[in-house]
Amino acid sequence: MSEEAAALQELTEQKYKYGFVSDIESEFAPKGLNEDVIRFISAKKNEPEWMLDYRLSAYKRWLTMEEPTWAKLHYPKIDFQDAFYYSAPKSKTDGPHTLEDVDPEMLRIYEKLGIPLHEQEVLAGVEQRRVAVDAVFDSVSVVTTFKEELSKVGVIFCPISEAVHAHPELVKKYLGSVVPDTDNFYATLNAAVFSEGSFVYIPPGVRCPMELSTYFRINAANSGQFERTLIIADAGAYVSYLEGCTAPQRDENQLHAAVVELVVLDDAEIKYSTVQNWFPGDENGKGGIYNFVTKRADCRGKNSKVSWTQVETGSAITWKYPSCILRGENSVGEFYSIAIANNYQQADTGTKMIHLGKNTSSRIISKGISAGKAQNTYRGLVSINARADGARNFTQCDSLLIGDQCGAHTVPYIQSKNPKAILEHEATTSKISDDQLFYCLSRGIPTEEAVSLIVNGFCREVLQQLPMEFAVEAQKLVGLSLEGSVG
Amino acid sequence: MTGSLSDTLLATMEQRRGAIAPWLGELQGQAQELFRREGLPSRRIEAWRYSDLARALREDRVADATPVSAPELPGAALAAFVNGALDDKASSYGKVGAVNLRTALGEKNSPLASIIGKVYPQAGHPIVNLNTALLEEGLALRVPAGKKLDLPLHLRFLWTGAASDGRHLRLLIELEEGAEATIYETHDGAPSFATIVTEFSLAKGSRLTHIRQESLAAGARQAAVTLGEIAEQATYHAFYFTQGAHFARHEALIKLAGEGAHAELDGATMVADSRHADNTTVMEHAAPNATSNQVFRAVLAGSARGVYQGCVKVAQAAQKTDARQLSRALLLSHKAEIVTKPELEIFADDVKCSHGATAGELDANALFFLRARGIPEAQARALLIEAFFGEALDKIDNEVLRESVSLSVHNWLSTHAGEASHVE
Repeated sequence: MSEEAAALQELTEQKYKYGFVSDIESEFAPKGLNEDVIRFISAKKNEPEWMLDYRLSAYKRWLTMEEPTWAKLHYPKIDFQDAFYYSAPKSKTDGPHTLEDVDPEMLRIYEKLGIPLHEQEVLAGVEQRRVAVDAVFDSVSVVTTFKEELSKVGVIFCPISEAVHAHPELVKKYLGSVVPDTDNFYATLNAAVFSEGSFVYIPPGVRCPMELSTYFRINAANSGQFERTLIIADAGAYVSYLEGCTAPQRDENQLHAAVVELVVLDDAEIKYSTVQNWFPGDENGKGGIYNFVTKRADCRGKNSKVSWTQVETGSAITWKYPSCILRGENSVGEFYSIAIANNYQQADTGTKMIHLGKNTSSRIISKGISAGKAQNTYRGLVSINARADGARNFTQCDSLLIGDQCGAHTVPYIQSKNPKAILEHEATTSKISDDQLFYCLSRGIPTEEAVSLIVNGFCREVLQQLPMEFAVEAQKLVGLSLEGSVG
Repeated sequence: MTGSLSDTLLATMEQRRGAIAPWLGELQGQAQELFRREGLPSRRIEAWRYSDLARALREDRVADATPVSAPELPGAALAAFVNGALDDKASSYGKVGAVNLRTALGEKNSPLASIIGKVYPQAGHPIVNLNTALLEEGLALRVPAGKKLDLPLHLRFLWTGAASDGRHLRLLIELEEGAEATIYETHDGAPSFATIVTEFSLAKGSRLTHIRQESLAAGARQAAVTLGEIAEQATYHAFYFTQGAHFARHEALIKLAGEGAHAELDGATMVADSRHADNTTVMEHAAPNATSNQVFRAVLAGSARGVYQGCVKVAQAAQKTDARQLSRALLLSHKAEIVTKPELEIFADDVKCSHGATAGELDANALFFLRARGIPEAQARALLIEAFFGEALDKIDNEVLRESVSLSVHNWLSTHAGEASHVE
């Protein structure tokens, strides 16, 4: 093996550092899925009748639906009865927590994960920036920080189960309005069994004073996580929201089926960033999270804007297409993605940009990296409605192949019904060029660093979109996920 | 929904199995079985999502009053198909050594047994199965090693009157080592339902030029499939022109099977009214150092719909592949629609693959430039569209063929280029 190959292999074989298991005493719903389990979840959350009805009707529909098979993903059939749909750490007090109520053991876990739950703490950075965190552990939210300070400007940031009680009018109005409970197999499943997630409401004209963040952790064995996030930016509002996720290293696969809905009204903007770092399975493809996620933003108002940025390094299986419905005139949708698949990982991810309003514009930058025996697919749709005069789309999908055992695929759908719309799409696939590598090596940069440098260069357009704290982390992650794979 | 039509087709398959040649019965039986299972392709199948054949066959057809004239290519060897039957009297295909497929299949130890159904095996392809099971007529051409045909072979498909039954034709083309040939296909008139399957196999160093000129009438329903395998250092150069029809689809499923094989595909789609045109390609790179280049251009007017689906597959062994693909569409009307699906499926790392797709209207600045020089709007638009196709036309080496295709482009423009977006 050449020096490069060795360096690359070393790089790719980095162990997953969030794979530790924490011994937290938990209580579960009975294993499997049926109406009783749904009633159990609903009762646990002390939900009003309308919420239970919503879940049950979704469940009935789900029973009639079939799993989608169109993605380039291969995995054994999922036994939906062989998992716990609710798992919560036992706690002494009920209801919303303050930091004092949180089990110190739990705080230690988040410390270990590098997530600041103490309000005085800040993430490393040049500026003293603060981030409000909603920490979700299996099926419950452990704590939400900075709530009080946020409420002073009218921002609502709380677990969705709390919002159901505290702000039923908002939840009723918007929940399921972007991703209806009839949308697809996994979204319908989520509507029936979702247990936690964040709720954000930014009132008109408010620029959220700090970054909001939700950190998802799957801990219990044999359990699935079904998060539900709903973010509403009212007229003229702005919010930057970050999502992070990790899971312990286990031999069996675990299911994660989330739904994220964003509602953007006139002149409002939501910036949604994800660093997904679920356990991807070991180097032999054993274990890992099966991630089936529906994320969609509805730009309902004029001049509204949504920007999705995702860095995908984790999950054994990724099935995820964060989308934008550009309804309002002049609304803007953006999708920036880095998807890294190594070892036996499989990713089928992309976006949909549905242009309905006049002068709507969208931009898609997707960087897919495949290494080891992984399969990485970009799948996307750009659709221009007949009324969307002046619509504009630019799409760029680049794939990088590292090693000759992996695959990189691109499946874009481009549809236009409007002559006044301009669409451009380009895609390339290549490997790390020998010239680039040689250039670095001849300047004394070690192979490992050179590869990391080139890969980071390949991804830079997306990395630049991330909030700074995330960008630093993501940059390291890109290096870590790939270290040792060029040859 | 298509129950009755499928049943009729199945009954006909039963009658035709082994009718032309008993040895063909087995192949036809298999195809029939697959058809029984899958039926006519509809939008429920991903590859047929934008071109629903089952539905098109249920719909009423537009009546066509325009008389159909037979295009002539002076000096070419002619195979004249009239309403799906090969008219031997009117033909001169013997000049290049081609043979009537029906006759050749019926011969004892038919030499065609080694090629029919063997090229780029597509057992699951609904149209190929349908065609195999219902096979009636066709032509076979084998060019011996080293021979370069001076004359192009003109395959003229002419549909007059109302041929109400389906017609299913097969073309077999085999180029031996170093051979060269030019095929010119013309399609005119309105078949109620025709399938045409072409299988070509190019041996080492051979070269096939394939010009397809589809000028079907508005009521035509045709599904054509070209299956090809290209051996080392062999070249396939194609130009596919289509004006669409009630249902017009052409698929090119091509395998670059040998090292250094090359495929060059140019598409020109010009559709107006409520016509539908579908170009679907699968370019499979199975060997190292092969190259492919595809450029599909489309102009859409009226409430026409254009589809381009292009998949490039690169197998693990196909290192050093260079595959390019480009789709460009001009929309002239608010009711026209373009659907593009360029796919890449890549399993080798040392490759250069790219695709691009654009859609939009004519460049307003270029139009202004011409208008400022006193050129009337419709003429200026026609000029720009002609230029848009010019690059592809220039690549056709044979001057007579280039002229003939240019004329089709020109004729279309004289009627439709004025359909401007300024009349909104």
